[in-house]
Amino acid sequence: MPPLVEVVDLRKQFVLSGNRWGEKLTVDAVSGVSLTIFQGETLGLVGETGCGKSTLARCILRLVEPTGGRVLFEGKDILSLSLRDFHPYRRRMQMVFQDPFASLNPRKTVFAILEEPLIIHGERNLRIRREKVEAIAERVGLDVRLLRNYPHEFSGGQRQRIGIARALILEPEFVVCDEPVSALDVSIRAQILNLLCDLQESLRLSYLFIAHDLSVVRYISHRVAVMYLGKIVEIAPCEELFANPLHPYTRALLAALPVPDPSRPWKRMLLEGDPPSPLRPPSGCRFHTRCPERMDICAVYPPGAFFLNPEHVVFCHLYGGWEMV
Amino acid sequence: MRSIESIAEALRLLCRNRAALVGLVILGVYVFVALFPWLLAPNDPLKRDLALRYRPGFWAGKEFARFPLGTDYLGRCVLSRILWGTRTSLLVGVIAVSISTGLGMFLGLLSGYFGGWVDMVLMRVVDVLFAFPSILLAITIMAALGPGLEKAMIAIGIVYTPQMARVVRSVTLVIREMEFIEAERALGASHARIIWYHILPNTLPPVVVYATLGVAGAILDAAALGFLGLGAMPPAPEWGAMLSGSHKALTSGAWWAVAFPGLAIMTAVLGLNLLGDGMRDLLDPRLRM
Repeated sequence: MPPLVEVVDLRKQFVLSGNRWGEKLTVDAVSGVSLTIFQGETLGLVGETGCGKSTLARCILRLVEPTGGRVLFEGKDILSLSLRDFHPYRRRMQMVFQDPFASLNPRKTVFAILEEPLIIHGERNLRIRREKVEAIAERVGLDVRLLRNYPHEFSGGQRQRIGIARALILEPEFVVCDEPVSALDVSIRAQILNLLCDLQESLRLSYLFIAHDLSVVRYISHRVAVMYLGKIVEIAPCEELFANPLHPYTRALLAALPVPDPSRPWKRMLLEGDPPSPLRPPSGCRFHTRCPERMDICAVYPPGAFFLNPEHVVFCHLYGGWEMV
Repeated sequence: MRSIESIAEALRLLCRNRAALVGLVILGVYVFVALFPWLLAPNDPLKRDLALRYRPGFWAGKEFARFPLGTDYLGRCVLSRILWGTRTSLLVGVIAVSISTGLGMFLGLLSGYFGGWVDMVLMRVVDVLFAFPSILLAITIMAALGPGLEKAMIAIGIVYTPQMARVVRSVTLVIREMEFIEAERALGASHARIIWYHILPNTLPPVVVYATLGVAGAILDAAALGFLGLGAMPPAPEWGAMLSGSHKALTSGAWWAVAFPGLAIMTAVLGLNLLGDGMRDLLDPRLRM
C-alpha cells in the first residue's frame, strides 16, 4: 500500500539576518528529513524543544514554506502546487494545536469557530453547517447546548476538544497533532488521547503526533521517529523502539523515562552539555558533541541509514553504513 | 440576546468605575445639549445687537439675567452660542476621529499583517506625518484644502491617522503571531478573511480607548483651528471660533466672552478623558473575569 503522506528530504532554513556584505545568518531548522505516514497509522515524532519538530509539521501543511525537498500526499507533490491549487488539499490535512488557550479566537463563539472551516470551504447552507457542527461537537464530547458560549468559558480539556472538532469538521484524512496534550493536566490527558484514538479508529485518520513526552508517544503511536537538531536519528515501530533502541540519543531519551517501580534502581544516562546551536550545527553526525559512544568518524561524516529490518532504521556510525555527502 | 447581556455587564462595570461614570455623565449631558440646543438656549445664538456688547452675566445683578453668561463683541448671547456650538464641536471631534480611525486601522492592519516592504513603505509615510507638529500639519492641510468646517474635520482626521495606525499596527503584530491565526491559515482562510474576522475584532479594545481620547484632542485642535480662523465660518457658533472672535474682549475686561467657551471645551475634554481611561480598564480582559 502506498503511504498517504511521504516526506522526502525536506529542508527548511530560516534566514535570521543578512548583513551588508551579503552574508546571511541562517538556522537549519529542518535539514533533510524523510519519513512516511500510512493511512490509519500514527507516527509519533519526538525530540527536544527546538529540534525542528513543529517546523517540520508546519512545512508539511505549508504553513511555512520549506526551502527544499518534497511532500507527497497520495503521491502528489503538494509543494509544487500554487496556493490556489493547494487549497482543496487543506480540507484533507488539518492540524490540532498545542495551546488550547491561544489557538481559539477569544471573540468568537464556539459555534462560529466550528462553522468557519465549512464557510471557508464553500458550504453556504446554514442548516447543513449547523447539522455538521452539532454532529462533530457531539462526536468529540462537547455539550451542544454550550456552542453559543465563548472559549474562555471552557476548561483546557474542553477547549482542546473544540480544537480537535475544528480540525475534524472538514473530514480530513491526515491530522498533525502538535503536542496536543502537553498543555493539559495529567488527568485530562488520558481523556484527550483516548478521544484521538477513538476518532482515528472510526474515521480512519492518520496522525503525525508531535510530543516531547515519551510516555504519551508510546501510548498513541504505531511507529515513532526520533528527531535531533533538524534530522531524524531513528525510526522504528513503537514497541520495537522502546524494547530495542539503537541510537545513543534514543537510548538517552528512554533512560530519562521514570519507571513506575520504586524497587528498581533507576539508572540514568546523563548527556553532556546542552543541544548545540542550530545556527552552527556540528559537523558530521549532529549528535557527536554529546554522544557517549562517539568515534573519530562521527565528527567527519554524517551517518547514513542502517536498516535493522525494513521497519527499523537508524542513522548512526555504530552500525556502519555511512554515506559520503 | 448575548449582546444585550454583555452591554448590561459593561454598564455594570462602568458604574463601578467612579471616574468613568463621571465621564459618561458629562458626555451624556453634552450629547443631550448637542441634540436639543433649542430646549435650553435662552436666546437666538445668531442675533446680534451692538447696543448690548460685552454685557456681563447673572453675577452682575438681576437686570442682566436675560443673558446669563453675558454677551460677546457683537452683543450675542454667550450661553446660547455655547449650547448651539456643542453640536458642531462634538461633531467635529467624532467625525475627525472616525476619519483617523478608519484610515489608521486600514494602514495599521495592512502594515502589521503583511510586514515586509508594505510595512516599510507605510510606516515611513507615517513617520513623515509624525515629524510635523500636529497643529502645523493641520494648518498645512487646511492651506491646501481651503478653510471650512468640513475641511477642518478632514485635516484633523489626517493629523490623527499616524497615531492610530501605529496603535493598530502594534496590536496586529501581536495577534498575527497567535496560534488561532495559524489555525485559520491551516484551514485555508484568505488574508482578507483573517484580517477582517480575526485580527480586526481583536484590535478593537485599544482602538476604542484611543478613539475616545482622540475625540478630546480633535475638539481641542478644531478649537485651535477655529481660533486661527480656519475652522467654522462666522457667524456659526463653534467653541474655538468663539474664543478667537472674543480674544480682544480680554483687554476690555469682558472675561466671560472667553472664559465660558474655554470652560465648555475643558469640561468636554475632561469627560472624554475620564471615559477613555475607564474604557481602558473596562476592556482589559483580566478585569472582566
